[in-house]
Amino acid sequence: MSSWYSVARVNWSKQLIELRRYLPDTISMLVTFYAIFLLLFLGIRVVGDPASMDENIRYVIISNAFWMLLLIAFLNMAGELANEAMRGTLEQIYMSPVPAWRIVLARAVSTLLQTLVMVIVIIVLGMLTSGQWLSFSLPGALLLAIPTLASVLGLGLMAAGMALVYKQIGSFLQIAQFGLMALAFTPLTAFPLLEYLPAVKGLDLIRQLMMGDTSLAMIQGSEWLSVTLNAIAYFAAGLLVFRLFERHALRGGLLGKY
Amino acid sequence: MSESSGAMVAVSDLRKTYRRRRGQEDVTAVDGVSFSVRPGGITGLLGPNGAGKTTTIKSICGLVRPDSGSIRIRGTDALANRQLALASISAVLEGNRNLYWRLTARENLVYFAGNRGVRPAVSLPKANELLERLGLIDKADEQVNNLSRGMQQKLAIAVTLLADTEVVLLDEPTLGLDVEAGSEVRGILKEVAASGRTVIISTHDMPVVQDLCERVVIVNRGRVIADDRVSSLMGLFTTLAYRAQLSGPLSSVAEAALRQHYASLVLTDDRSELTVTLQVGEDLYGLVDSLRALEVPLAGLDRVAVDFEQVFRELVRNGSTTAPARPAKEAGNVFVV
Repeated sequence: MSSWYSVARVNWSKQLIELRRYLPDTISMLVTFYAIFLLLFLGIRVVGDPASMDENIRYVIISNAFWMLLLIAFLNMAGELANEAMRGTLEQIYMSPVPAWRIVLARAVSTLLQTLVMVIVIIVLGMLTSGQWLSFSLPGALLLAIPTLASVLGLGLMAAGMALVYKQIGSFLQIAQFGLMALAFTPLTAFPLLEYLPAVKGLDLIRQLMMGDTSLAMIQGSEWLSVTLNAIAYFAAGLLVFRLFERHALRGGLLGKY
Repeated sequence: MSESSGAMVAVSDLRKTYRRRRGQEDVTAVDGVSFSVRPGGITGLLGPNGAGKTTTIKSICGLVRPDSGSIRIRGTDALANRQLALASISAVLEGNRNLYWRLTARENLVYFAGNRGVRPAVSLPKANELLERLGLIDKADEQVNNLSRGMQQKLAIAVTLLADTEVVLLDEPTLGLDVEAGSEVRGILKEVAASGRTVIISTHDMPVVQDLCERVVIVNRGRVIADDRVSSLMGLFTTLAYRAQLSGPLSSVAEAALRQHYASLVLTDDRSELTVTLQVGEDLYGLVDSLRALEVPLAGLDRVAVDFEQVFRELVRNGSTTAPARPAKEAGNVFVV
């Protein structure tokens, strides 16, 4: 338990320090997501159905902000490992008696929590820009965000495993961003089978909650079960795939290569 | 060696072949390496490039999984219980990329300790103490990319010391350091060994080996070719070679006369220094008498010292200490040219 705490603590600090020391990167990320929101917002204003415009704008404000979180949950670990390999520190991570997946997971969770501030800023900026207001049930949204993001962290572990072996997977990750965009923006009502994909059901509930269509108490047990099982399944699969790639990297002596 | 029981690190019949893609030959990096390291002291793991050193080191550090063989660290099977074994070992790998360049010296120390399960509240005072001890306290809040190569290396060593492991492994600890920084690092390593930890260093810097290591394991072509105390290996190749400095050039007549007795005579271009290797049955008195009789203007006479670099080169060339090409003491000069 002590090692969990220490790893979480020092990785939280490291990510926070780097967030501050790479401030231009942090700000450009914020600006990019706001710019994407503006494009979507203007698109809805110009060509959207006037009858559902307000609802669509609120839908986009939430989906865009959570797309940012999904991207971090998915990309952070792979990106961190590829960077570690390039900088030469990956082998130091692997010489720790604490399993490497715990270290990269601690970093990803730290970054996610730190990015929450930016997500809130993006949501507030979106509301101010559009004049559409969301019923901000932050505790409820956060409660649902945990299993929702856990399933994407599972995908992130798979990508991180690939990064251990193949290192330069930047192109693949860039393409995968569009897949995550689909997960974040596609309405579950239009494609019910998407419920089995990571994060979709959870995001659907978060949207309903934040748009005032439902309350935390109204979410059914079966829906909680679906979101939780989805998270467990994808996270466990992610961990398994990560360990398989890790084993391959150790057998091939690939950790120190870039 | 038979002391693997009670050894701090015991490597047995380690084998590793890297599989290549179709059309490329597989590479056997390590082919049955066995050795053990007793607790305490500094052991050198040496070998020419491509000898299998790095694969051996990385296998010990849990960074490469061997095809077969065993590695035990403090008796723990490092292949079956990788994480447990890693609790007893820390390493500074080759190059200057063992640290996070955007973090400060102190932040690096606390970060790496935390990843080993040490709380910042515990590691921070120790980090400060180490920075003080290694003369880095003034640079504690400096980002690593602003530190000199020597300081970075000292900090990387500090990271391993903060890990407080029984075994410390260093790959090329003095590579790229200037004379002063190299000397400081050597001093630190001596202190580390004196504190009772087991230090294993891999290096191409033979003066470092000669200065620091009590024992060396030399690998070549994936196999151990020598595993002995440095002094024993040096003794194996000790020669009876003497170098005479002259106060004037040696005459051709004297040279011819000397060559009749000493076929091994080597003369420098300016004829002011000669080297003779005595054979079995010859002694130094005889050489001095000959020089006096020939009225050679002798200014000084000393025994040619064998350094470990020569020993290393000879071992690698001959393949093994168990079957040297020529028994050095009998055959006379092996190294002097």
